[in-house]
Amino acid sequence: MKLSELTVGASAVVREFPKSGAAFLRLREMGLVAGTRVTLIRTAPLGDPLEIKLRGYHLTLRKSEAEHVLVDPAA
Amino acid sequence: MALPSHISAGAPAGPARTPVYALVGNPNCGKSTLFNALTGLKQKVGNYPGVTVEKKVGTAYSQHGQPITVIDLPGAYSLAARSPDEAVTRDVLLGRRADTAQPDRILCIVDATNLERNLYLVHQILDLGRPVILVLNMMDVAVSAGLEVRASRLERELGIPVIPCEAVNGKGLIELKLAMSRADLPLSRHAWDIPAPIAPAVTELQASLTAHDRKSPLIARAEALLLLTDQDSVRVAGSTPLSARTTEILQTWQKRWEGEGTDWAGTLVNSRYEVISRIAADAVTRAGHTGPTASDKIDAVATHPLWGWLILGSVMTLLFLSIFTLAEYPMGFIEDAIASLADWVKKDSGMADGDLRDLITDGAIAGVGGVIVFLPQILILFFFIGLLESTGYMARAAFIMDRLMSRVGLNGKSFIPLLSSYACAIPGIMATRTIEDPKDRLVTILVAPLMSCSARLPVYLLMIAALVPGDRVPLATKVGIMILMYALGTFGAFGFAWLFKRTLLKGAPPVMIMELPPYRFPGLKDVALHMLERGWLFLRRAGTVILGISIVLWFLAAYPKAPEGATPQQQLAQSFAGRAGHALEPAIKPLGFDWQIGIGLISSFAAREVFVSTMGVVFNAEAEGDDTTPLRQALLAAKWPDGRPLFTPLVCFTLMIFYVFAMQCVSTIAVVRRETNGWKWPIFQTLYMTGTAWILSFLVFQAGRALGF
Amino acid sequence: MSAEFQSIAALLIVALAATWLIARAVRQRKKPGCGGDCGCPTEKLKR
Repeated sequence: MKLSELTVGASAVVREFPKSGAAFLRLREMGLVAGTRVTLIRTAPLGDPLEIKLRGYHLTLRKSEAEHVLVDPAA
Repeated sequence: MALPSHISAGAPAGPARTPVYALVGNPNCGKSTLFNALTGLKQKVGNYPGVTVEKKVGTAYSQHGQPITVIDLPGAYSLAARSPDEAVTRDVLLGRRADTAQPDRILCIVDATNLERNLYLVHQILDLGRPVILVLNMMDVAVSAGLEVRASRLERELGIPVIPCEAVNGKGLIELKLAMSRADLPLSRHAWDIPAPIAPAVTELQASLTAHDRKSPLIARAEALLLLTDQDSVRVAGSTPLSARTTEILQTWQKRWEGEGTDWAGTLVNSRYEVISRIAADAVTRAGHTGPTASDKIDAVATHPLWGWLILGSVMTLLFLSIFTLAEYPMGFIEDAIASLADWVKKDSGMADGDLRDLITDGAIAGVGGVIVFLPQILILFFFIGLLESTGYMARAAFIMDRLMSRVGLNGKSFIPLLSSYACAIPGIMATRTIEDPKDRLVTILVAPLMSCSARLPVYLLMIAALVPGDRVPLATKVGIMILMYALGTFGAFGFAWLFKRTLLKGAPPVMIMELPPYRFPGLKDVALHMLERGWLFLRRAGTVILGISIVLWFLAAYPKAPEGATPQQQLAQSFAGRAGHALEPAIKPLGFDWQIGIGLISSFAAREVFVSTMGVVFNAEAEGDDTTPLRQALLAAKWPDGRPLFTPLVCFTLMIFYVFAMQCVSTIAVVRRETNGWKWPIFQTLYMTGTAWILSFLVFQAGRALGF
Repeated sequence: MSAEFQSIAALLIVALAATWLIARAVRQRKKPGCGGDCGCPTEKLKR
């Protein structure tokens, strides 16, 4: 499933990632790589962007980026 | 990783040379707090030539009292730069900048509560082959979050000194200074395996960088690794470009990998994070499961769909209330001081009546004074912006506003700069430095002066007073007109941002990858220091450029001389400014303005509120203090040569529209020139804004007249 | 101080200020690295 489809409070493990694009390189460098566990904390009051938690910190990204990140749901 | 024998670990020879440390770290890890704690007030703040990135250099003292130079590099998440700030950090560390010597040693500061992501940058920096000291900051926060971070484990794994520290209250500083004073620092013995498919490319690039770009082997290796990660390189002025040979090798490899479907950049990042995860798992122990932190609890309210808006609204209201109420007293004080200074020169200094005296009072003092009056507002604004930034609320405001800002193609980070511009565009434009994307930043700078700043307020007030004179109209009408003006400016700003993002400054769809740092108690000392730096920058500008312009403007109003015994208004009418007003009349007559208003428009370039005092001179009705009644009556009595009244309600309204959109502030133009490194954008901005002002005023005036107003 | 002397002094200051402003603009046009207090993003940055 896509990272953008995660329900609030749910966790998942990143499976796949687009190879190109400066935004995705930065997401990778911020620690969002295949195998990273992420939790969707909340969406902004207007529905976009998303706030996720990974590696012990909070990060925002827009749905347009999250759509391209494939994840496996985790308990 | 074997060290070539000619690489020395310490500073280059020469006993008299002061060692240079670069202070590097992620944003929000307490880097500036540490820098201030290390160097105290011994700092020099400037800019890297050619880039709007602040260059901070300070002096710390070793345990033996020897000076140590510390360069505070801009916060960065990675050496693969995504913003001018990060590009400067990268270029200084790689020795690419001619204006800044490559630092001898590197001080890496990391947030102990967020070790994994912070170590990514450290891992890249270890490749540089320079001696590194790792500072584990915020150890107290880590402890209270139930984290046990063992410096000794990190030290063993990385082979460099690791100093636990609490920069906020100065704990660990002595240990850090001791480490910094060491004559020899060990080089990291941390080794990591470059993934197999990429290794040959690294070797080849390294060889080429050594041969053709004259890099030392270790730096060449680090740079090779970086070039392979950094696909869309952000280049800034002042850094040396790569040699053709190296670029060619890079492109050959990239083409080959693209053909094979190898995700080279991703592989590199992944393998770094694999190593980092292992190190972090070894060094950090989480004491059981912890519930939501205080920060999480605050965020549940602060970014709540309903409360979030209310809090954002209250914070902004508070900001503006304090700008307008708190600033009132110091502003009044400055105004009085300027007035009495001018008075003193006029009456008590013993200077005879003459041009030099007029130049000093009407030119220098009035011109610079008119701008300095805004200093309290600017300081308060900078203080608030610093406070919002250092508590972490700024990121939340951007998070909440991002969706709205994305409608016009910007992102949430443009929100605070635009909002600040309601008080004054200058701090707003200076606050755009937090926007990474250069195009987003430029668009924000271009539209920020459309937000009605406080210098327009006196003009609006005078025009509203003349438009709906006296007490026969309800207050609501006046307030309504005022709100209309603010709304026009706001919609104008967003409209133009939308337009520019679609035409002139079309770029990749903006992204909003931003860390939401935990809420922290603000470092008031750091905020105050930052505020004073910015305030000083503004004052220095007022003392130089604005002084020069004020003197020239004075000359234009004072020469050529009218015959002996002329009244001030006759003098003004016959001066260069008056003639310029006459020359301008054909251009502004379609807007319903005559040459006398033209003089006002020209003089507004010093600062918009100067319009009010100019009208006072033109119509020979000096407004006493805040009471504009005599001036208002003089305006209403003003007539065209054929006897028609000049300031009809329609003209007043049109004039307000003109002031909403026109670019009339030299201080803003100077700041935009500074922030965009050239005259191109300030000139464009002046033209588009003033052009819009003319067209809209024309439409309003002509339509109004056709409708019989 | 006589009025003429004041006028001459004032005009000198005006000339000085104008020359300085123009020199500043020209200097920055020639060498867009800017001197002293100012720094700025560049043409390259806009890409």
